[in-house]
Amino acid sequence: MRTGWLAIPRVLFSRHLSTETYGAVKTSIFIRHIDGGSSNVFESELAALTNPIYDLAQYGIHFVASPSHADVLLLTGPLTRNMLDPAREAFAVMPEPKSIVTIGDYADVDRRHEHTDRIVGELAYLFSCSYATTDLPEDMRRAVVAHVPGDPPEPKEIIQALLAVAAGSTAATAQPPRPAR
Amino acid sequence: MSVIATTEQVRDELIHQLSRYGEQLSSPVDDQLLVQVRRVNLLLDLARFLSGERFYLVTVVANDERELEDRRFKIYYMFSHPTTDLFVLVEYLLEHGRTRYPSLYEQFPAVDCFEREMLDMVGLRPEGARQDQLTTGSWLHEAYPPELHPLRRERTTEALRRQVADHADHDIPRPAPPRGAGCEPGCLVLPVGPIHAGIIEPGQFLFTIAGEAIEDLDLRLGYTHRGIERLFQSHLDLLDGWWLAEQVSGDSSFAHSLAYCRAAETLTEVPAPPAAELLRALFLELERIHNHIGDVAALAEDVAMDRLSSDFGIVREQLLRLNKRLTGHRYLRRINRPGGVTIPGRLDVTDLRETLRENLGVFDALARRMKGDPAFRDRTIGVGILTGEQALRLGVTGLVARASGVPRDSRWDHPTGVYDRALLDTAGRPEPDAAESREAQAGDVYARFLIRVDEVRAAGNIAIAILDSWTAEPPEQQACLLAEPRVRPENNYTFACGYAEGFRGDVVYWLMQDKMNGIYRCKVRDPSMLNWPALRHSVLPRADGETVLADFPLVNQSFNLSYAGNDL
Repeated sequence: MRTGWLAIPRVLFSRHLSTETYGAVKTSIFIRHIDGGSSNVFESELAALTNPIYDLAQYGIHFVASPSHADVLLLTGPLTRNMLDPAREAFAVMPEPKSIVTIGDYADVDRRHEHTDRIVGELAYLFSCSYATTDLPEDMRRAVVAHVPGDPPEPKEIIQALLAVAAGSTAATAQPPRPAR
Repeated sequence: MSVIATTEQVRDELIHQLSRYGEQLSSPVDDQLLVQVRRVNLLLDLARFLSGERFYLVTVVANDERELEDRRFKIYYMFSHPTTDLFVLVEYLLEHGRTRYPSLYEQFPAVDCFEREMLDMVGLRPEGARQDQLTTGSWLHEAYPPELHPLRRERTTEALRRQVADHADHDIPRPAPPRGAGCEPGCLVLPVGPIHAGIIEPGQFLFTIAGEAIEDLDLRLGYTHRGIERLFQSHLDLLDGWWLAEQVSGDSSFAHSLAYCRAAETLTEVPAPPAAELLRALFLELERIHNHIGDVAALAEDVAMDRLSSDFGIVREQLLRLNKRLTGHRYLRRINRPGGVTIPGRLDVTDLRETLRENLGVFDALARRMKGDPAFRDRTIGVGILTGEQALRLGVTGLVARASGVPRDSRWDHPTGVYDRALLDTAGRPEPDAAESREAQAGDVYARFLIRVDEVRAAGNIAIAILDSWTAEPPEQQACLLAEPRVRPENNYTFACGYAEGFRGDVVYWLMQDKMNGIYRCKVRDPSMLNWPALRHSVLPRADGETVLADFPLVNQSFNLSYAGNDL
């Protein structure tokens, strides 16, 4: 039996477990980032998300050190053959439900999206022909829920996509498919 | 060589010396001496001579020229004179049908990474005892078939991709090389990576530790190998190669595209207009400023000075937004091209001046607080020392070399564009007061921090000086930013070098044109490639102490080398 002062927090909590608080908890996601062979601007922009201007933590979104703590995998760059196994292992240890968000034009594995400009389009095609890159394994491909186009995308675009993912929306992927090459 | 010699005297003396080793070829550029060597012992003698004269090794390029006139593999070595604006390019011809070459490891230990690269990418092996020291797999890991050498020309890119895919599907992968074997009893091998805790690029560090002290460090890179050099070949036009150059190491995009464009401009023989050179120097300094501030922020974070780190982060974001306003891209991409620069609209000089003045003022005040902080000094002084002697021996370049007292900076050693004596006087070499300049050359984490802070100040001064020259230009000059280069067929299968001092050090491109207006070979040399071995040496046990494992992230951050630029 809880008596005295121990009962107070329970009362407080029960009142605050109304919609707002619960809503915030629901949109909180933990992110593990993997560089699949990007030029390092994407990492630079992701790191900038934690500065006080963008302050990703205010939305309940955090970068975590271990994939086994992560809900979402952020993948940048065309997946290189040398990173295939590490990426696979990291994805395997993530707890269910898990999803992948691809960042930047070169990580657009299915080439489903319009690229930022012609040059990026050509380069993304070049990278996809290289002997050193590889396609995303089927199970990981199915887990891709959103893509943020850009070379690199603006920090606010990444945040919007992450918020959409957190809210369970598919708005981030709702882009016109790329015309056939 | 005499103490005070003009460039011409040094040049004449060098021409005389070099004639003993091989045939001299004419070079399209005044500051390059080109010598062709065919005999093994002459190459070794030449290397001994250059090493004795304290030349720096700049880059090494192995090229498959079996389908060209000479019908063999060639290796090009590029050396830089330590005090005069001269390069020596050595073209070594391997014997017909052979893939063996003499190693220059004894004379220039910096060739180590290049020899490993040649082994993986072109399949050339050094002769003698050195061949046993080299292992394959530095760039192409176990997933690749052992006989694959992507920079040889007998296979198309599509065939290479198929070959790699078949190997992954059908063959048992090559076993990973044994690592950390042979360590003392009581030692422990601790593999870290390739995926690290923070938001950084992948690479594996294998520490051999005894308790907390690092006994040895084995670096395994190559995880971000994208096959960039192969993609340059036969896929891109000579005038479009800057697209890919910008992707090599993103934070140094501008330096990479500039180095590429300089090489392409030598081949097309159309230089950029003077106003474009002003803007190029301006953007190069802007890139240096925002990256150095980012590194200082990361150093502050690594010693748990979160408040300072946040403030530095705000300053950096303002400068990235300035880049966006000036050029339309936060990381200064899509501006450079062979023949000049393009910027959207007019350069907003007032905005630039105001933003720089305000933010560099804030940065300076924050950096002064960090400099004097006892906790910060305690964490960084004497940690991760790379002595000047080590830096010279390893052929380290850029900021890391300067923090060890080696004054190697291609902006002043080999001036191009608007970098000249007058601009150097504006910037001031980093020698504030005596105590600080001694601390700034100690080769430890604190020295690299001090050099960064000082280079931000100097780069700010240079940017302002460039803006003064810019406003003095008449409007019709300001509007003339882009010449129209055309590929010159008479330069087919000739090569050119381009370089630019990025924030990590000199970025060097070696570029050969083919007969279809395309690129026959493009060798990229990011400063990181020369500097990665220095990271290992800076944490090895010394006579006066050891580096503890917990300090390694700090040391690594103080070097801040590029993985993507090394792995290509």
